Amino acid sequence: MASGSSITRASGQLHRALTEIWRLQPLYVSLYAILLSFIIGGVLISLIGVNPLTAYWALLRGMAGDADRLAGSLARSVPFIGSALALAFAFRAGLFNIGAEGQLLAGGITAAYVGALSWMTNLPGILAIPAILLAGTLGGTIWGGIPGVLRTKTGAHEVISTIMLNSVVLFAARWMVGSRNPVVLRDTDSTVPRTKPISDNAVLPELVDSQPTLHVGLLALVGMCFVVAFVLNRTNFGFEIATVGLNPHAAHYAGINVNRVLVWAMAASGAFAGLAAASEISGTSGHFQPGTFFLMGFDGIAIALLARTKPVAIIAAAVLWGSMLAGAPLMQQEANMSIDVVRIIQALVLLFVAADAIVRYLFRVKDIEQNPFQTSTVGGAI
Amino acid sequence: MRNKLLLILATLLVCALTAASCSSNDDKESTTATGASDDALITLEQECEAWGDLQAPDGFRVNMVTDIGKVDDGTFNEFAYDGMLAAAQCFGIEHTGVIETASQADYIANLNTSASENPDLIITVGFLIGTDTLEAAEENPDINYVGVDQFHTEYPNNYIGVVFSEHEGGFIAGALAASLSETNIVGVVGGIEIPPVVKFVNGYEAGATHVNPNIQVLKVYNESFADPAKGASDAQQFIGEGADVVFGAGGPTGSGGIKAAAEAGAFVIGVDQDEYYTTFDGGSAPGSAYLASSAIKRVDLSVFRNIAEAVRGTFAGGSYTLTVENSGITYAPFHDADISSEAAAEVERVRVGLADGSIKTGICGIDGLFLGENSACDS
Repeated sequence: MASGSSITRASGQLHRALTEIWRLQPLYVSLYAILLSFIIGGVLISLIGVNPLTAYWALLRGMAGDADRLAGSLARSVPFIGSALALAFAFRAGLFNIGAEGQLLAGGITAAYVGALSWMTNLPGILAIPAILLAGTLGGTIWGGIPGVLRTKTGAHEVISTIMLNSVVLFAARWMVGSRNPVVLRDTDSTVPRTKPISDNAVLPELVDSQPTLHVGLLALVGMCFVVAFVLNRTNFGFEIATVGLNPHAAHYAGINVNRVLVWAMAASGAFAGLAAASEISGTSGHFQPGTFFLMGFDGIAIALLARTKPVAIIAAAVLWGSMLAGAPLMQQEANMSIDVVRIIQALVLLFVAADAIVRYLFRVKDIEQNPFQTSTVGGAI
Repeated sequence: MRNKLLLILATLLVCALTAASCSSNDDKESTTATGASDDALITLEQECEAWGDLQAPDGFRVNMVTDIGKVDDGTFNEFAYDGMLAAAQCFGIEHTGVIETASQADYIANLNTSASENPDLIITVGFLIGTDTLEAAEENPDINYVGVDQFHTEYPNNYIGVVFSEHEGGFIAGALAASLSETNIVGVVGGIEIPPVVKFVNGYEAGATHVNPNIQVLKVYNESFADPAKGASDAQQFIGEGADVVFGAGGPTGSGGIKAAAEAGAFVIGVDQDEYYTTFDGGSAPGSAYLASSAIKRVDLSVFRNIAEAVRGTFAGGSYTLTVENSGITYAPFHDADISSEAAAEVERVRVGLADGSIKTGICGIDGLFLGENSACDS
């Protein structure tokens, strides 16, 4: 019992340090959830018979062992920022956009199509890069807008329609990229199914020659987080979104065009996913393969939850998520620990974020603080 | 309302994530030989004995990068991994490592991570990672690479691509089908009409005709490898036309076909690996008693042998073709199927004949067309 009370005392001190010194109150549940998940993950690893410190040390070096790995981890995180924004933005309007997976594909395939058009080779980079990014954003916007329109015109719930549209675009993309007869978008010179490479001047400038390449897309998506925070907190549209999200009936009564807000919130959500996909095509792969975006959209949901749908916190959550995935292979190679461990830890993090009563109890947190599951999210960005 | 939905959502997500991490097919053995001739399926232990007392030098390291999937997922990933582990045990290789690829975006990063340990040999699995493996081999001339199911027109001398004589596997399947058929009609459900599939399908026709010149072979190709429902309807149509043996040669599409046919009581033949353990869940799936055999590719053997070459210092780049002659193409045990001793003897006779060259498939190994019918081998 003595050790038990010393643990709770230590966790109480940690909580004080976080709240009073570093002033991280809004995120403490997420931080504790991460800590707790790594501890449980460590127990799991030692049950399998591997020293958790060896495994975590390899994971850490895989995430940020040298400059190249750090850059690679950041690069791996870039698309997750977009897919998490896609969930977070719609969530503010009271919508559940489960369709980031499909919106990424829609954006990716339009970006790859436009990037490989023959006239692109004659465009200077200053026009070609915006063109490919816009194309991807547009693809995502349309694919995100459809469920918005369906919701307002027919009442179809966006959870159902986005899930269904995910399948539609996935199989459509597989066919378009895979089919040899007729050839739609397939690069017939390649042995694997993928689209033609994009034009050289549509390639995003690289920041670090890491693997995957760290490119300017990082800045674009990080910038987008701040733009979203600004829009949500400081503009009329943001106010309308928050009002609709809190109570659509009251918003309607207050003279807000609820349908318009819903459609635009979904379309904008799709746009973020589309932009993320376009930056991947333009900055990393140079062509489109459906498998590249596998699970990225669904991971975005988790990241947005971890960041409590706060746009700027999404950056940190996405970097944590992406770098864990980037670091896992080294852990598997050195500690012979399956990368499933990382997935389990990620799932535990989510569990503790969702069931934050566990975290509050374990870390002796008595105060009631903002929690998007229980209180409003108005004015809570950053 | 919103809060509840969000909670449900989060719970679902957690379930999905953990389920994805926890699901795996256990009870699988890839190399057990029961029922079929011992010569048909040589074990990795036998292969080990064939290499004598070859031992790896101290510090010898073999790494592996899988295709998307796991080392126990019942596909080439698992067989390549089995081959690596068996070789490590056989040759006393202390250092082995594996990276299971989670996403196509990770191929190059994983190859780099694997190469960062300066291993003597890296094994990569799957045709999708082939282009990246070729580049890695060119960048790291001191590391040898073995790529399973990777065909290139040219290989650097530190890179071996493992490819397969599918037409021979198809020929064996056809011979078995013809020996089993009572209606003298057999069918094959193919995948997309690309060379490896054409080799299987035409090989099947040639094998069936070799055993019974009067047999009718129903053939179909599909638009996709991933459409079990289409495969099933193909198979049902074959059965409706009188076929009583169906060979599935098209990934999950073909597997869907043989599953439906087996459930309808027709004999079926699987492909690539012993589908008794995959498609038929180790005998627990309905229709298991109608899975006569599978035309298998011994990926484990190819990985084992190429590791042995690297250990012995005789590794040379190029393609390594698995054939009946080198025991890399063969047929799986009959398991629960009631195969007459005549049919068993017939298929073994054909296998031995292909191995010693007394039987020819009459099919071009490049594009799978019949020799003399404008195949790539004719010019």
